[in-house]
Amino acid sequence: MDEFKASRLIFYKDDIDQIEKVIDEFIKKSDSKCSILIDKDGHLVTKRGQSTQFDPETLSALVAGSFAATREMAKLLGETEFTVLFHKGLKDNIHLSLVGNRAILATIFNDQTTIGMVQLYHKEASEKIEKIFEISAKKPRKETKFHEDFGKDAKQKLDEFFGS
Amino acid sequence: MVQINFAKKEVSCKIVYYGPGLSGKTTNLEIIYKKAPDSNKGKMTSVATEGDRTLFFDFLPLDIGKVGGMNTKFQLYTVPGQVYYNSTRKLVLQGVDGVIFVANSEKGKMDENIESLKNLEDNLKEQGINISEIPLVIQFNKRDLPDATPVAEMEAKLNPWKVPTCEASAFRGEGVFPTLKLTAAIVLDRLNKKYAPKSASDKAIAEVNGHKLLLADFEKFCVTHYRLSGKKEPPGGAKFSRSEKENYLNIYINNFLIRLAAKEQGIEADEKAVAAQIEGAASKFGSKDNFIKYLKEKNLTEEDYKEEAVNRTLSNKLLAGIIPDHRDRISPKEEQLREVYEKNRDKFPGAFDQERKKVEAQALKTNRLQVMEEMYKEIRSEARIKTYL
Ligand SMILES: Nc1nc2c(ncn2[C@@H]2O[C@H](COP(=O)(O)OP(=O)(O)OP(=O)(O)O)[C@@H](O)[C@H]2O)c(=O)[nH]1
Ligand SMILES: [Mg+2]
Repeated sequence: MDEFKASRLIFYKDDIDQIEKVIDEFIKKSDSKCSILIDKDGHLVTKRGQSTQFDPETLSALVAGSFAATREMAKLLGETEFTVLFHKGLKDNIHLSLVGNRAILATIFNDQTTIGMVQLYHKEASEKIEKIFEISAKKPRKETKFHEDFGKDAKQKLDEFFGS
Repeated sequence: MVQINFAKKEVSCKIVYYGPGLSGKTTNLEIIYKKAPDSNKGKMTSVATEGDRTLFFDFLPLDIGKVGGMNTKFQLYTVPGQVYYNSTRKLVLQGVDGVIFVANSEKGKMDENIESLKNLEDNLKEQGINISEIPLVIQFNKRDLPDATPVAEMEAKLNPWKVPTCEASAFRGEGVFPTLKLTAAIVLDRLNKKYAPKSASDKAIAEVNGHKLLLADFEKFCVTHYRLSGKKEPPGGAKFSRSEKENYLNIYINNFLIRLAAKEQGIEADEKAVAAQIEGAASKFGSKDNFIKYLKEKNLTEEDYKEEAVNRTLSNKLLAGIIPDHRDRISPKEEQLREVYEKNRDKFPGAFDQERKKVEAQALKTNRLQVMEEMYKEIRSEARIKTYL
């Protein structure tokens, strides 16, 4: 049951509020541009920091994909996991790290700061977020529900969007 | 796995286009990208080889807008179909919520279709998913080809699970939206079943001996009962506290049990007895017309009262079977009359003989209630009752 709960991708308002605080603090301390938190299936959880050109959902899919790929590489090499990825660009760089086993924190930064600073605070932020997930999984939740019209609405929306 | 984000009020589902190489998966996504309104789509990204064969995946985020207050998104992916890329195919399949299997109708491609479908089954199994359990739609693509394999044959060879299928000619833009719509509907229907509360009309307030008592009926009962009690209704309608609701629910369940027991014992509320009940109530108002006028003022109909009259009639009839000496116990003894009289002198200011009738009525009422309570207790002791207040 607990395992099931941990593997579900449900994010609640109170957790997200806390997580966003942690990320905001991290961005400030490390002088990064922005960060996105992505769940293990590649869905965006939240984006903080300066608004940038890129589409966060596409970045999420690519980050999750490349992390999944490196995990396989790690396995081939007999490593359990590469927990950090870093890509250097001309202007912007991207730093990726695993948060527990259910999310990835991706951060974009430029030469205002250094990889060392980012790495240092990234680790701290990841650990804090992981803790929030852990506590969240143990919280007794009154199952938040969708609106009772979800089913009816879904049919209507699909007809609208795809034609009936 | 569907991400549900209550902070952002967002639902995000992952749909994967699967199938053998060159069956038209990327083409499906291209058509959706071309046709979907700008405000509903993100960028289409392809991680492909120079020759346009998918290397890792294609990705297209689609946003269909608010569904039941939740912004609903589909993340569409294609896998590389070439046999060689199985490891990347597995990665893309991770956390999938719905699969569209794009089968190639081109002549001579059946074996590839079958092999790819088997590969899908295996890769899902590695994730602990049984192919017959995941939302799956099969698209028979390239129907435009003159020598396309007949649909019946494709159906027979590729669809042992009898999942929904769709014919398409993806590069002509035909059948692409219907396939996705079908899949999206199944995925959302699952979510609905899992996360949406039952619609108000079939939500239960209690279960009694396996029968569901509906919340909506109970709410109506509360209002009717409140009005029947003669209390003045506040503007905007009566609101009930939890304890009031508990009390009403008890009565509601008692009434239901009475009707069940009556049915079991073949006891009916005959017209005459019910009419007598109504007459008894009306007599307090001087005439039946006055009574009906009174009900009307209270926003009640004669039918509402009749409901109550039937309950009373049935209770009276059942009473004999459950508490055989009920007559004896209800009719007040001289001793009790004296006691009631002495205790309630404010109500009965006259001499005992003068007030006797009123005292008798009050004692009768008290005794009746007591005996009734006992009967309800008896009936309840054998009932299976679950409440959801
Ligand atoms: N005749 C016909 N050709 C189609 C149709 N749909 C796609 N094609 C063609 O089939 C070829 C392959 O299409 P893709 O969409 O790239 O195939 P894919 O399934 O993504 O292939 P991989 O990425 O290698 O797995 C292209 O030349 C398309 O133009 C169709 O409905 N009819
Ligand atoms: Mg492709």
